[in-house]
Amino acid sequence: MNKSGAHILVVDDEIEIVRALRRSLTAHGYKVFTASSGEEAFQVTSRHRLDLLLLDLVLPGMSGLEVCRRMRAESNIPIIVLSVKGAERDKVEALDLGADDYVSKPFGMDEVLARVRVALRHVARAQDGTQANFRAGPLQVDFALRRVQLDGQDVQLTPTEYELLKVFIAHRGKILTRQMLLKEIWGPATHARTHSLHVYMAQLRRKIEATPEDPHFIITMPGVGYRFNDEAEEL
Amino acid sequence: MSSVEHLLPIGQSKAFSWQQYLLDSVLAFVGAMLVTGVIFVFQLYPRIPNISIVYLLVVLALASTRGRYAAIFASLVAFLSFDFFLVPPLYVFTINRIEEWIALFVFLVTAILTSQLAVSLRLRAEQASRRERETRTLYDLVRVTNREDEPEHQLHVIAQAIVDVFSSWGVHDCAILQPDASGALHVQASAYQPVEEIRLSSDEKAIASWVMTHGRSMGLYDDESLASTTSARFVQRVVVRITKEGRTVRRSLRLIPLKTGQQVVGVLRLRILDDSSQLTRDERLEEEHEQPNARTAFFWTFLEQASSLIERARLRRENLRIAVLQRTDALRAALLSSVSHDLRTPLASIKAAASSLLQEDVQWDEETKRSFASSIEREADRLNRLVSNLLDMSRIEDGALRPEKEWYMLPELIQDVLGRLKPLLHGRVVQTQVPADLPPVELDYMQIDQVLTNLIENAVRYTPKHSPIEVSAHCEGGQVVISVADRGPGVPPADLDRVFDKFYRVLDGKPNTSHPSGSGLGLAVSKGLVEAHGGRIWAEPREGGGVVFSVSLPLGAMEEVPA
Repeated sequence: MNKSGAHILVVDDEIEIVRALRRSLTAHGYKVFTASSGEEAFQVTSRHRLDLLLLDLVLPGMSGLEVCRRMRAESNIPIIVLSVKGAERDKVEALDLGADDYVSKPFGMDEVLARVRVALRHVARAQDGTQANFRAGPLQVDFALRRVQLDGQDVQLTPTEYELLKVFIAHRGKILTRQMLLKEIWGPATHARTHSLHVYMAQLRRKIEATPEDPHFIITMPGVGYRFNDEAEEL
Repeated sequence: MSSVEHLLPIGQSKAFSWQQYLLDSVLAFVGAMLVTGVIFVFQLYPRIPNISIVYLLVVLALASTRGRYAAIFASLVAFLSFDFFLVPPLYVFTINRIEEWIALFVFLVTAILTSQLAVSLRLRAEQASRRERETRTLYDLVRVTNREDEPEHQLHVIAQAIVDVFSSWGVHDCAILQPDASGALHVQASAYQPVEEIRLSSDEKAIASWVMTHGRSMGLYDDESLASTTSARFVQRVVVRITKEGRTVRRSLRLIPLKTGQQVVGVLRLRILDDSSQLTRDERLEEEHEQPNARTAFFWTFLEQASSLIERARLRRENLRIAVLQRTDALRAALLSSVSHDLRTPLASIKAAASSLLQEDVQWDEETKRSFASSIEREADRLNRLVSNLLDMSRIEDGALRPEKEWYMLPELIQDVLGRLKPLLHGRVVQTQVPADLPPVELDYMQIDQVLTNLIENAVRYTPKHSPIEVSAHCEGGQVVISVADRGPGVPPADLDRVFDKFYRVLDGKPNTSHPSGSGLGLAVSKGLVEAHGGRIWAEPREGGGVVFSVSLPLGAMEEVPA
């Protein structure tokens, strides 16, 4: 949707990956800058206005996590982290540090493009302000009335389930780590309730998903957290 | 560890004290005077001229029970009292008749000789029994040590045996130090303290390594004069004076080299509690083999025995390590051969497809281009799965695999895996039978994902095209069981367990020509992952042909969740 030539900085020291990303992103109308280290990335950000950062976590010199932390201290530019499978801990840390999303290496190009689209859209929406209504396919939420409907039928949600859904819709498209969700729902002092979080998620899905075993709205990001499927709105 | 059999302590050799001398004197005096009294009262002398022989009984009795001093003292008392009370003229020590002189003198000599003989006989008997006891102790040491299999336990047993056997010498703790690969000494075993709790001071370490290199024992005293005889550089005032039962007790440390032949294999660290009357013993321990002493000889013999046992334990440990290395080497070779094959196959496909696309003289139509590209993607995914398995395998081997468990819904996981494997399935139908009300299961999503991926990939790979694959799950007695069933050729009953062995396919030497290739890693990795979850994986023949692979995971008790 964003064909207006958003500026994207790709930070990776793998020349082949940078080349492939640059080619595909350029072909889709984005303007691409590249950097092979964290230090170089900051030089680029100081000279150009950027809309999005694609950041590899394993970099020479300054680590990707460090780049993420410092970048977040300066601006709220969306950051998508690239990281290998198995490094779930790093992903979660990056997300908790303020990264918006991640793509697992090795990745398919369409996956990267989808994540880039979502991140840019998320920014656009954040500038719009909050809505009083939300509609995605069969799901309809009226925040003023606290009413949730599926295919026009009222869905009875418990207060916790409703809060969860609200948080997901407010941050739709963005990955919410378990920590973030726990903090949003139960406040900062809850650590031990991770287990119940997953159970609430299961209950919520059973109520709003047509096929809970193949969820459409709330997608599990294994080992990391959950994401409200942003593309669902386009249905 | 407390089940270790305790060795009998060797007896404390009696030190002569003034109380014993007094008792001996009293016994000798009373014994001799009693005989004199009887002879005097019954007027037996000179009616029986050889009556003085009766004294010999007393002397013999004393010699065989109390020792040389008592016997000789009794002989003298007998000699004098016989003269004084019985030989006329009475109550003076003078003797008139020459034959009485001779008789009395012969009696004295006989008495002393008899006592000497009796005493030396007794000493020999004592020596023999001590030897026997020492031999038994040594034998016990070997026996008790051999009973332990683990080298670490053997060292522990030896340390405990040393404390048990020499406790009467004041030894109350014992640790065995051995050098590691870099030569630094570490406590390997201790008699009564956990090894982790022992902290060696830098002084102790310095002295221990000195002992190790020079092969000489050394102690830590608080006595200047003693210390100066040893190496003054290491003089330490670490000895603590403590009062035990009102007596001053000296506590000292002694570091003794453990030698087999000329080689020093370790250092023994003895804590010795000496009360002041036994100070001399400490010095005895200092004597080396060159100046054997009946009492310390056994100590050194015991140490020598212990040293050779310790050396043997070390060699065994070494052997074990080498065996493990060799096994690892064999596995590595097998891994290399199978992995290089498995890596090359997808690489070859990718290379072929990519180079086809690059051919300039051919104009591929859109559909062919797509098929090349999708084959590149498919093969890349396959490489990715293989690398995941390799990484997991090495983590399982290192014991570094810790599932990060959370509660997940199984149906979602199964759908997720099937969705991801779609390119691999080539449109093959996978039927799922998963009840919707399956409770959440605590698992590491990535790991169980990998297990299911491996099982389904296996089923796809080893069964004919278009044969059905079924994935099902159900609860069963506190466990959830996930099964992947196929209608393939099945697995020979004898191999149902072995398929989970690493490189089962490779090590078996089965030709890869008739079957599609596989690294033989997938099932082994799955087994490792499932077991890390406290679950079980098994294969069984399926009714009507094919095989069923099942994974059971504990359901666990979940916290109650308020609505």
